[in-house]
Amino acid sequence: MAATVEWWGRRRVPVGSSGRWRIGPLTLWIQRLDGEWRVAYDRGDDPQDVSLQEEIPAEAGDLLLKDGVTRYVVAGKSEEVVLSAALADRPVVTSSEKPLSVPPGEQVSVYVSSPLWVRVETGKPAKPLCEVPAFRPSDTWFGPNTIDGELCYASRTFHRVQLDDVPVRPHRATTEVKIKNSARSMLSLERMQVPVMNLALYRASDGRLWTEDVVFERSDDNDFVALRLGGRGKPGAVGPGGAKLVAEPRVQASGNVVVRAFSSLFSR
Amino acid sequence: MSQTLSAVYKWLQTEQAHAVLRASAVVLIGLLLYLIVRHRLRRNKGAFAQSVILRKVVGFVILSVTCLWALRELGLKMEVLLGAAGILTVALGFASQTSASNVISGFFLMAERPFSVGDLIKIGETTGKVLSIDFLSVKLRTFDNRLVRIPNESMLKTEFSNLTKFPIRRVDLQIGVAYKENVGQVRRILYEVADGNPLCLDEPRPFFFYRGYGDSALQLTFGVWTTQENYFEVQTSLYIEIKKAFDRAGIEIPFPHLSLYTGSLTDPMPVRLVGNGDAAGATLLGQGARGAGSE
Repeated sequence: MAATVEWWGRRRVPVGSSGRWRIGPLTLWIQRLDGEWRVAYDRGDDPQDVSLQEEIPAEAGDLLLKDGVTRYVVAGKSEEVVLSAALADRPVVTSSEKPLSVPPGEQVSVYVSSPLWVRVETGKPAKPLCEVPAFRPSDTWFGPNTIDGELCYASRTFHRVQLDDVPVRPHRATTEVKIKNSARSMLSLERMQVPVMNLALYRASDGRLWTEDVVFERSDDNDFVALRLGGRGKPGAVGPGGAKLVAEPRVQASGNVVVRAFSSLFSR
Repeated sequence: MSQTLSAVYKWLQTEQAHAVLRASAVVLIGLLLYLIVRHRLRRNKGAFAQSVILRKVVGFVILSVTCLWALRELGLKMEVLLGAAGILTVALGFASQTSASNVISGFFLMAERPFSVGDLIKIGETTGKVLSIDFLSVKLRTFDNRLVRIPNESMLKTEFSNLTKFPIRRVDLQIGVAYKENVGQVRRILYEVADGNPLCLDEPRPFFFYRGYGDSALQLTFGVWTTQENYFEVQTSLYIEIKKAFDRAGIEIPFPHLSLYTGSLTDPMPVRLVGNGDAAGATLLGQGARGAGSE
């Protein structure tokens, strides 16, 4: 299955059968039995894995026979399961491969890749069963010291200046971060925090999963940065045919423009 | 009926009735004030632990003043009452020195606020979650579900650690490897293990420290940061993962070695084998332990 195929959506898993999905490093089994759903998963070791497979009916994996399975008891007879994609529930922190700085007066774009979560729901209206990260990113701390800061996920991939350096993967979304340095001093992009939980997820016509754009604007040499969310996904914003909405933001931001402390978004 | 009403009306004209009414009004106002203050203090969720004691103290003061005032309105001589209270206070003061000390220590703890209800603290050999901060003591629930009561005075005098004050903590793993091992390789493996565990924080980076030469091993400390709620899980999983990684790489975690040395002029150490059959005689083995450090 090509990376451009949609792995999310509504599927039918008849009673007594199973479905198996391979989404990047994640293998997911969903089994429908009389009065219950069973879900099991296995995450491979290779975060770069771009596999994409779907099999219904599928052989019940060994995992479904072991303790790793989670059972969900349901009263309804629905045989429909809904898989959906979601961005991380915490901000994602990326770093540059080599020291990277934006000179005063410059405006640049960097591309950040972040992992997706697979949400499993059943029935009509869809009721959530569970949520599994396709690849569990490492936790990280983002803040000026070990007392003040925020718990985030480490992207484990570098932010890139060229989009071509960010491969299209079924289990990762790309965020374009536009950085405008209107201050008189250099802006270091060594580590950067992207609030992906406030972003909507889109699928572009080329199959790449995009999030809304993020714009960081540093207007002065003070300690504040304006963070603007939104942009991509609006009709016609991405190539011919525009982009299709895949998931709404997990958390709605309080406004389109948020002023944040410099140290809460960038660190040297 | 009319006679009763007339009697009540007459009584209401008396000074005694006025005193009762004044005292009732004082009690009502006092109770109202008490309820308002208690409600306000309860809403102060940020300083919950503080407000528990504060609520009790403020309530006690308001109700005491209300009672005294109401008694005064009823005609009780305050001088007598206060005199008696003074003598009683002196007597009680002598009898309750420890309690008073605990109460005052409680106020100091409250002002300093080194921990709050719900924090995990370690005092001496006891580690537990703070259940309540009361007038006389702090109550902890230990991991094995015991209630430990620590007098406030002891809390003030003793050194203790608040394990959950800050959101992240460092797990310091004490590791020993054999002298023959390549420390660079050991260090690389440790970092790989930490990077492979998603609960280990990527930043701050893990910390590798060479403690020195031990009796049987090179002594290392590997410190890994994690969130306070994952502390014990990370500690256990890392020890298991490090052991597996060392086994895969053939790195030895030595146990204490003991070399027997019987002096430089000693002949090879005689060893007698005792068997049931013909091996009952004495046999000398020519490999005595000569020289130290033959590990």
